[in-house]
Amino acid sequence: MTPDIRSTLIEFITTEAATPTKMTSQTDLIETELLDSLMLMDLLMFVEQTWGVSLMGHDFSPAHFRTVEKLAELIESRRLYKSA
Amino acid sequence: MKWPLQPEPISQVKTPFFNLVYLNARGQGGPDSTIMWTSEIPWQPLHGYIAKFNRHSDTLAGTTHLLVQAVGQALARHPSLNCRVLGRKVYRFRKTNVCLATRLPHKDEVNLVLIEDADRLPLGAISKAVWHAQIDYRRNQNPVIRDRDRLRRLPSWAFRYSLWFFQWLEKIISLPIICRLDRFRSSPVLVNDFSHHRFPIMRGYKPSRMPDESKSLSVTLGPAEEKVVWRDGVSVPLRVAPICIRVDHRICDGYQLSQFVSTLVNLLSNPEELESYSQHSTTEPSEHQVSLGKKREAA
Repeated sequence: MTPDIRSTLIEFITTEAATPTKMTSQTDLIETELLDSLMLMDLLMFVEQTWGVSLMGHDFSPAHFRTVEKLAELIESRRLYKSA
Repeated sequence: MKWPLQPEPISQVKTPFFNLVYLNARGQGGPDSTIMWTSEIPWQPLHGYIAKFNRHSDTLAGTTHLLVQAVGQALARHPSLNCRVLGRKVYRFRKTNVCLATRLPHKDEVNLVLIEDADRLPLGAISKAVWHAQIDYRRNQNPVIRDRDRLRRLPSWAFRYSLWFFQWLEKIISLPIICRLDRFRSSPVLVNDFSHHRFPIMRGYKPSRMPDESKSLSVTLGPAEEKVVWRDGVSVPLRVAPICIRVDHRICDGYQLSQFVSTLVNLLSNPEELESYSQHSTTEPSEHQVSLGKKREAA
């Protein structure tokens, strides 16, 4: 399930980013400036619509949004919590 | 009940002469009293500071939040801009509040977030407040969104006459904050962050004056671009971002604006100064608050 989340997130971010970017699930989204406040709100909406996971204010930590890998882990854990 | 403005207007004797001319000019709204100043800031120190901050912080911060903090602190250092026009008089705001324009992605429209005491808050607190507000708005949990939807459902004549009545009332008396939507009147400044990759290069940006005239100042950050500059006899590439400031001549003249722009550009070029100032100001009152205290003591 996780690789699917990763590839979907990568596709969304590369489509939304202005410059054509080659990125992996380990690319630092903050240092490379791929993630800004506008992109983050769009990403939040995309995550809610695609996986039904609602992220809260305290989830807006650099640790969760540093890489696609970290964000995918957060989405996975929320989905597991939801289905439990 | 909160009163956003100080009770007494700024005395005419203390008002710069040309501001007075614009304040008292004839005609609907007077002549165009807009002054614009566009400058540039080096991008690397700003981005470097945010990247460093995000390595240790528990809340994700971005250029938007840093811009809010810098504008708050620049306003606190230049309290003559922390004012608004009511009728033909100028009043000072009691607090240094900053209004941030954000986007509601699910409604595809602009929304405002009010940050109170922006001059005193550290970057982490500002980013936390903005994210929480944006998530509340996104989930329709914030009553302001519901209020706006209710107003939108009014017949157009009722909406128009309510607005006209409010505008007329505001011109003759200083009103308190009377509803949730109205809180945005308690800030003199509107901050826009357009520094996103997706936006085209910006050379200038002059948002129109808000109908309620509470926002006499607007600060807009544009997207960064590569430029070649001459340094020590060699040309070097440098990433710079434009910053556009619009101000109302009725409250501020060109010289005062140059001082404000200089402070703001300096703060954004050396963001470390922002954190040291906000740490200092959590214990020490700002220049504005000192002057307020003195006035109260004198009264």
